[in-house]
Amino acid sequence: MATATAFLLLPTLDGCSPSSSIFQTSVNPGGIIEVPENQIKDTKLKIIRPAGWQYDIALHKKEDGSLAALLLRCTHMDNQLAQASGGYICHLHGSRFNMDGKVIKGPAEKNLESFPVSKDNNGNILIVVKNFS
Amino acid sequence: MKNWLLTILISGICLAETSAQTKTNAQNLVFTNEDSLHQGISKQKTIISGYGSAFYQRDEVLKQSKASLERVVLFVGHQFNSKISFFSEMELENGLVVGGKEKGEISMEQAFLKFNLNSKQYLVAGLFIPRIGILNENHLPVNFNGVERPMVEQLIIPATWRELGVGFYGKSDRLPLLYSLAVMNGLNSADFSHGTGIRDGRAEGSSAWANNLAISASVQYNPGNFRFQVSGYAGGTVGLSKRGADSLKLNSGAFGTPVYLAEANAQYTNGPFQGKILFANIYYPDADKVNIAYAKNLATDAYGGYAEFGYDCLYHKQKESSLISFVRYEYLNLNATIPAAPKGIYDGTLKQQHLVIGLSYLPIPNVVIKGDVRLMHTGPQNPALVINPPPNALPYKTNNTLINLGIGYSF
Repeated sequence: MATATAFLLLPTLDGCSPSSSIFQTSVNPGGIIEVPENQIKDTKLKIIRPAGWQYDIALHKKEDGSLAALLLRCTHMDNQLAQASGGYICHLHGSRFNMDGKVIKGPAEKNLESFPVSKDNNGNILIVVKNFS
Repeated sequence: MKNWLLTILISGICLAETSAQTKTNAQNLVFTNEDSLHQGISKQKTIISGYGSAFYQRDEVLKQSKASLERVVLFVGHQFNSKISFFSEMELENGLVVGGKEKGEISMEQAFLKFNLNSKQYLVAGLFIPRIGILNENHLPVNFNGVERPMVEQLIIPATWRELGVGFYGKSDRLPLLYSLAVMNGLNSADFSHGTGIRDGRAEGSSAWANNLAISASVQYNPGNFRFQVSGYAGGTVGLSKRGADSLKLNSGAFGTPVYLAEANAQYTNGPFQGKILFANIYYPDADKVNIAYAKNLATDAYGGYAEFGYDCLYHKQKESSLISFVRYEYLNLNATIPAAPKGIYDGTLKQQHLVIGLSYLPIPNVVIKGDVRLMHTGPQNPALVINPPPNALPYKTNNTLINLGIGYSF
C-alpha cells in the first residue's frame, strides 16, 4: 500500500526535489535578479527568493521552452501565494492562479504580476525587477 | 583570565571591523536598491472588496419555499508597510437586522493584523479563521460547489469558525508543504446545543471566555495535482472561574473539560476533473458532565465525511467561463457515541446522509450561478425526545428533497 502510494505521488513531485525547489539570491544594483541557467535545467519551476523580499518569484519554464517570472503575491489582498495543483493558491480567500499566473478562481480579478525575463551572454537568466511597483 | 577576556574583546573588535570593511560599495548599493524595491512592494494602500450569496430553497416535505440574501460580506484591508497589514470581513446575514426579532445578523468574520516575518512565514493576531477543513478558510461561494455549504463543514467543523488569538503560518522550502499553528480562546460548553455539535459554543470574537484556551494545527502537502491536509483542534470548554466550574462539577482551566476535533482531507484537480474527500471527528469525553451541568443532550463522539466529484464541461473550450457538474455524498452522525442514559438520549435524526447533485456556472471566475438537488435521509425520530408536540405536527419523515438555486460573487 505504502509503495503504491509512493508510486502515485513521485511523478507529481517534479520540480520539488529538496535541492532545487528554492533559489535564494539578491537583487543586483541594476534591479536585476540573476539566476544561473542550471537552476532551471531539470525542472519546470524554480522558486526565486530575493533577500529581504516578502514575496517569492516563480520562474516557470513553459511548454515552448520560454521562461516567465511571476510575483507570488495575490492580486486580491497581497497575501503570499503557495504552490498548488497546476498553479498557485492564496489561503487568505482562496484565489487560485494557473501556472501562467492567470486567475482561475476568485476573489482575485487580476492576473499575477510578471517580470521581463532575458538571458545574458553567459547563459544566466535575468529577471528585471527594477520597474517593480 | 584577564588575558582571555582581552583576547576575546580584541578578536571581537577585529571581526566587527573586518565585517564592516568587507561590505563593499557595491554591496551597499545592493542593500539600498533592495530597500527601494521594498518601498515599491510596501506601498501603503487600502483595499475594499467582498463576497455575497443569495438563494432560493424548496423543501419538499414541508412544502415550503424560502429565499434569502444569505450573505453580504465586506472586506476592508489596509497595508501599513511591507510587513504589517490589516484584514477584516464584516458580514450581514439574511439581509436585515431588526432589534428583538429573529432576523439576520451582523458579525465580524475576520479582523486581524498580519505580520510578515519573511516570504514564507507570517503571524496573524486578532479574530481569524484557523485552518481546519477545506471550507473554513476558503468559504467564498465561487470556491465551493453547491448552493449550501457541505453539511459536514457546518455541523462537524462549524465553518465559518473564527476565534480570537494568534496564528503562525508558514511553508516549507524543500517540499510543497504548508503548516499552521494557532492559539485562541476556547469554546463555551454552556452554549453547545443538541443537534448542532460544537457550533453554538463559538464566541466569534464576542466577549469570549478566555480562561479556557484552544490550540489548532495543520499540515498541508501539495504534490502535483493533489492536496492533502490534516488538522486538529484541542481546547477547554469551560471558561468559568474555578469556583464557578466547581459548583457545576466541571473541570476549569486552560484545557479543562476538553473537546478535540481531528480532520483530514484530500483534493485532486487535473484539467476538468476535480475531487475532494474529507473526514472529521469530534471527541468530547466529558459530555456526560456537561449534560448534567447544563441539562443538555450532547454526544461524546460525532463524526462526518464527504466525497465530491466534479467535472468542468467548458474546460476544453479554453474560455474564462466554467460549468461544473458535480455530485457530493455526505454522511454524518452527530451522536455516534452518547453518554449512557439518562445522561444522553440517542437522536436518530442526527444520523444523516445527503446526496447533492448540481451545477455551478461561472461566467467569470468571480461570479457563480448555482443549482442543485439535495436528497436527505436521516434515522428515525426518537419519541423520547418529542416533548409536547403541537397537535398539528406532521409525522417525521426520514427522507426529504431540497431544491436549491443560488447566486454568488466575490471580488
